[in-house]
Amino acid sequence: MTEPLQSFDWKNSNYERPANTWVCGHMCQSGEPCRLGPDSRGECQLQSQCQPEEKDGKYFCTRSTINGGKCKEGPTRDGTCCQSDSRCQPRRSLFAKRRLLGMIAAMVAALFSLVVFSGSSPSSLLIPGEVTASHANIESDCNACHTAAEGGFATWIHSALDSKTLLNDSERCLKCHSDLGSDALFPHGVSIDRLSKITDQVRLNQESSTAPLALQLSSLTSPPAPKDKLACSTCHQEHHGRKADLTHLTDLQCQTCHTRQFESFEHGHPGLGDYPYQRRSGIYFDHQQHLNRYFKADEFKRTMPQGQKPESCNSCHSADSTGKIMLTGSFKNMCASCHEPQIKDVEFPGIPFFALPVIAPEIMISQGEWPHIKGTFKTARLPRLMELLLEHDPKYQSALQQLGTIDYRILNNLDKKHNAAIVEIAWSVKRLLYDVTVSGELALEQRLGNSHPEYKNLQPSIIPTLLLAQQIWFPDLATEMDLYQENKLIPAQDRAESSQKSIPFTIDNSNGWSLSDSDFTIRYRPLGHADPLLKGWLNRAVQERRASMNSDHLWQIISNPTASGLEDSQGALASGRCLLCHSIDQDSKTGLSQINWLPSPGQHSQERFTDFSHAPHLLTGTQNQCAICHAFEKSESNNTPILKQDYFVRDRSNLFWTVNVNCEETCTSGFQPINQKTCVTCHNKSTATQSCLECHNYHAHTKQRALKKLSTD
Amino acid sequence: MRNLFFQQRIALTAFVFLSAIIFGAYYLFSITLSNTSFACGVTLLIFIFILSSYQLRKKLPFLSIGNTSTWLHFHIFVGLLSSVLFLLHIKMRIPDGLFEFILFLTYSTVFLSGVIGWILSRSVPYRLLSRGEEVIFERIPIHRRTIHNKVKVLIFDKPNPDLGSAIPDFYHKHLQSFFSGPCNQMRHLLHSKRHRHQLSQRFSALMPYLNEQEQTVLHQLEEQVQLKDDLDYQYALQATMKLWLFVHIPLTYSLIIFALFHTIAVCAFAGTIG
Repeated sequence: MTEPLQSFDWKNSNYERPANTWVCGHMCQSGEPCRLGPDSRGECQLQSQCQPEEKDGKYFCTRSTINGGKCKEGPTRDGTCCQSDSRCQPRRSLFAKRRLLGMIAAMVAALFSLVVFSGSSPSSLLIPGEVTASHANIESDCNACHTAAEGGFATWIHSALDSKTLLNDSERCLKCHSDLGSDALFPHGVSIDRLSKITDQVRLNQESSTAPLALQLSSLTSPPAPKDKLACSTCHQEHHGRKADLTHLTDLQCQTCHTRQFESFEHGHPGLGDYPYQRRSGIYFDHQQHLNRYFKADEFKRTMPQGQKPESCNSCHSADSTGKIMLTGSFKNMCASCHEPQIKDVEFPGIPFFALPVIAPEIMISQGEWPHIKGTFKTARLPRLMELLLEHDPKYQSALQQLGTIDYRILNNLDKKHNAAIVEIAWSVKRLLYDVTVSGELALEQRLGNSHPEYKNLQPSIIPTLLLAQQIWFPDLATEMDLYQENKLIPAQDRAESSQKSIPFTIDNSNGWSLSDSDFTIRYRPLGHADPLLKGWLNRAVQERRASMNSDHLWQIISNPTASGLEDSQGALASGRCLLCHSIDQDSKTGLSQINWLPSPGQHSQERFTDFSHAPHLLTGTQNQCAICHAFEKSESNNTPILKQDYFVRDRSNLFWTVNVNCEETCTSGFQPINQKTCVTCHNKSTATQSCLECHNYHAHTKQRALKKLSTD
Repeated sequence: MRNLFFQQRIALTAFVFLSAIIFGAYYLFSITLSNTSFACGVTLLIFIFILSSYQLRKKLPFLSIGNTSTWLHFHIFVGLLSSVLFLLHIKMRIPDGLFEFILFLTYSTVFLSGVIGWILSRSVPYRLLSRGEEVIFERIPIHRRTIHNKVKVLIFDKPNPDLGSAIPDFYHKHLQSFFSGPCNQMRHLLHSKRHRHQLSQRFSALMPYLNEQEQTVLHQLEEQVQLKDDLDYQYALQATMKLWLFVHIPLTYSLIIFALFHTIAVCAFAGTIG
């Protein structure tokens, strides 16, 4: 039996102080500590040598008991201590080593952090992770997304305490993502007022649904306030790697702000309403009439493209390169065979733009050339363009005042006292033509001023035809104008003589302009579908003068379906019926209108909460698969009226069309709205394809997500 | 013992309950698109400060704010809860950025060293009781020297001329390094007795060649070998109980500093205060 190593009696067991910084060096080296140990500064307190004391000529050891007591050997004869210096080099205790290590670790961490956080811009070491591939090109430029990156550490502290940092950063996102609209940071990128309206509409819906339990519980927290701006990072969390999905949101997250909450698309989703036919199509087209009548009856076969009747929807519609939108075939390929003759309207002589009124020679004595002396002027007024060009001519206006109400058809029947005014009208017309001769297009612009921009820069231009008219009708116009300005009498030239002087000319009608030597009128005859002059005129008129457009004479001519621009003619069909097929939309915010020249809705800047891609739905290869979703409206007859009363509205005279821009009310599609049950057959829980983002856009004013989704698909 | 078991069950239940609340709150807040990472991060930072205050508590033993044992249990409990928050904060994935990866590594090391320390503090004391004498760690060098001195006396102080040189030779060859300092620490940690068995075999091999007096000395030497080996066992285990703190505590300081800088960066660049 061995003796115990550890003694715990008070004499043989020193009080251990592990928290002391220093321990005896002897203890560490040989396990023989001195009783004193090192002091707090880490110095050995042992004094093995003493300072011998002399007493009666002898030296005595003075070593204290604590240092080992008096030694046996005692001092040497010369009074020095016989002991060697046995002081140790104290060492750090475990506790002190740990504390030292802690300090070193803290200093290393602080130094590393200061290196990372120093500098005028963030270090690359600070980047919390790679950004997505779409943002990879700006990854090294922190300043592109973070306002804090404009400066150093002080700026960061300022940004950290700034409550608007998130929104300021979001503004930087919008520098690139500028297609999100002016209210991009508000929920769904729509204005608060618009959002309130949508919310009110949703509240009016009486369909009942039960919110999922998680949403009920989460409402106890703090869902985003619908009237506050939302930072982009609320939904889009960056720095999660190149392949991170920035747009991933769960259905519950989508619904957290919504007034109506429901379990899934399969259960509780609000009805689809009249989707996708909330608005009229860009082009008015009666599918029922075409499919059930024109494409069936043999009598129309000869008018079909290449004599072939369309057999299915694909005959006219094909998916675009992304597969998202079903494109409609071009007018030339699909519609022209039937409708081009209607547009060309061979019997239509053209829209008069310039005309010489009929003035008897006896009125124009000594007033120079006036070719239009016989016959009857066919309209009470001059062509609209002429009226506008003479509107700011003071002499012409003075003449009109003298004449009072003027009817150009009976100009020669007026009292002789009005002859001077009629002469002035003739000179006003000559002056107009002379100005055009001298200044060309500039003369028209100056005369039109700022009003009526729709008549400026008409393409193809009327100027060459006006110049030609001057050469034919007024070959000595320059001389006449000189004499007129000198108030000299100008003898009328013999018509035969003047025609000898005139330059030989050929009339080129290929650009639509025609010059008639019989009624001295310059007309424009539309070239066919998408006529450039009418398209340009309509675009500008609709955009800038829509309110007064209905009263414009030119509009009255081209919108008159019974007359061919002449009040007394009975043309079969009118040219310029553009707006019978091409509808007009008005932006509710800006008030600006635009014509839907193309059938695709892509040209509209309106909000789009729902995004549908045809491509994934066209893979089954089933015949007439379009009809599965796009079913005709049921009615007793096949001819369901798809036009509402106010799609085309007659004016008070019941003669001219007026334009209605209320796209939500003017017509129906002729199709039944998409049935939600049809969608649910595929989009249900079992197929896991019923998430909100399958069909809905958060950003109502962007097309990017849809495009990205398509590319992924 | 039953009381301890009861306490552990309560602690486990409380941990599961609180973890469920944390997960639930995280889920509900994430539904409302709240900044859950920031909420987790702030809570985690508070937890880290609470955890580090345990070290402060040990430095202020005179304060009557609960005994150290209670604080230790609280420290372990909060530490485990912090791991739940940490996993939610990093969204169960390793961060890509260098600074955040270092922060991740630091927390993970501190947490794992804490868990290891916790396991050691639960298992080592039982092992210490199973072998050798209960000694104070700081005094082990003294006891080692005492044993060594005894061995030297037994071998080299020769009052009896019958003792030959076999034992001194044996000492120089096999025992000197053994008695000079701590030996076989890894084997002690692994609870291996292979080295002792080897030494016993050497003693047994030598025994037949010794006379009676030498055999007596050898028996006494064997006793000292056992005593020294038990002392090494105590040293290895007690040192292990102290050494894990050399990782846990210094890295805690680093963790606090990294976390504070991380908070500044997050608030500045993610605008989380707003």
